[in-house]
Amino acid sequence: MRWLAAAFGALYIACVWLDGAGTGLPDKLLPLPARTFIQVSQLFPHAAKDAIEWHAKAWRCDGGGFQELDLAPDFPIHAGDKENRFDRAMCFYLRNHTVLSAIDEYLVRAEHKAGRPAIGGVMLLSVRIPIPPPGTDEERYHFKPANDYPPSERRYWYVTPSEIRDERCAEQR
Amino acid sequence: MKRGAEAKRSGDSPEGARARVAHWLFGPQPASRLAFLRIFVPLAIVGFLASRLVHADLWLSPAGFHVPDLGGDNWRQPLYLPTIPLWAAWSVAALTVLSGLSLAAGFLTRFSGALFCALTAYLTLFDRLEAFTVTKLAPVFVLALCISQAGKRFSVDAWLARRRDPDRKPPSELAGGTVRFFQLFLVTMYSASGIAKARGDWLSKAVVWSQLHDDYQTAISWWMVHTVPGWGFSALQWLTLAFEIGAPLWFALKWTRKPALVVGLGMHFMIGILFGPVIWFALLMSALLIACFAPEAWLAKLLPSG
Repeated sequence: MRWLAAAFGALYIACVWLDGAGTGLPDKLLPLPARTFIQVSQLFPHAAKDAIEWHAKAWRCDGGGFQELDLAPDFPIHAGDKENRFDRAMCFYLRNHTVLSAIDEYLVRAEHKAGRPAIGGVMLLSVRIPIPPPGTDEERYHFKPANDYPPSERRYWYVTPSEIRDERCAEQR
Repeated sequence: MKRGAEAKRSGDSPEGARARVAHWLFGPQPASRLAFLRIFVPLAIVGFLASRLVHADLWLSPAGFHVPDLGGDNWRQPLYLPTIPLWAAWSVAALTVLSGLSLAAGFLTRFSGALFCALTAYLTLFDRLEAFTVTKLAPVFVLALCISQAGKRFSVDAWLARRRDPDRKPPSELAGGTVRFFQLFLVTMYSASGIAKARGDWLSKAVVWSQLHDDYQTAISWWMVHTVPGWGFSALQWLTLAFEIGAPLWFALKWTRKPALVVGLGMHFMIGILFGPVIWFALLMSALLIACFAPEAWLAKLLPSG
């Protein structure tokens, strides 16, 4: 029994090393769920070019147009840092329309359920704040609304189609 | 690190070599090493999970946002698991905390370990959005503790056993397979991480500096950004790289083991104070380092036999 445990342990450790060393071998051999548990050693291998923030603007049904949405009430786990579910979802699936639509639907539903001003849809965007070279003086990081950044640093990934926004707003009236 | 007479008896025959390997792998280790792992590994994992489990309703039940079933071969969704009812979400949260704390206390060690292992595996696979290094490591670490003799000393189980049998002497050493697993894992993970860094940007770009400007930034990291000169960050980067790539060597050699331990703990201390939420990963790795490589005298002070 102990040799069996040792063999399992050795296999796990070998997979962790092979994955970290970039051989790609575990990806070929292991099923996806098992791979999750060995992808633990590639920690911060690359330099960040920009500090990335994820924002959402909500389409206000009262005619206010798109306005920055406070995501903390709807995504309270680690609100304010990049371990937040909204940040992670945007980071992983920013090109996946199915997931972005699911975020849209969730936000509209959650805002409605919480009794906040009705919204018909969202605009999901990233802000890329360039990181200065070492030794540069800069202000302490704090989260600011997307509109406080120049347009060149903003990138839009998803907007609820206008007909869906109108439909949802009509439903909520 | 040979212990006992068995190693001396073994000759150069294949049987002798096998016995030497078996002795190195499974030979006894100080009980305090295993107990230290059993106490602090689950505590760091529960600490990490706590900020998520308090929102179990939004994490696990349909009340929160969930990535829909994407089907097919997608590493970002290794397995699609549906949401669970609200009562089940809170039950999973409560059982995770209780089993983790119970394992740390050494109460019903095997049972609580098995339950904690299953629950952390479920939570990791349930949702890629909440799968981080700590949670990916958790089920494997807990499984290793579960199959060991981790509850035999410095535990509620040991205290209860002694109450039943006052003549029972607590063991000073326990079967060491699990300790060896953690030792080998730790140096392998450092080495792999160092290689990944070298293959990435660590040899050519200011990686440490570049990571200090987003929402992980703490008051201390901002202070460092202002006061530490560029060459200071380069020095930190090279020290980290040398430590990680060379970890198997630094921890294998007796005369470099203690300095490597100090450098490793220093590295994780820096990670903990510079990168906000990463503190639980830093605590987990520090606990592993101490349990695996601290001199026995240090561990005896941390866990006195009484």
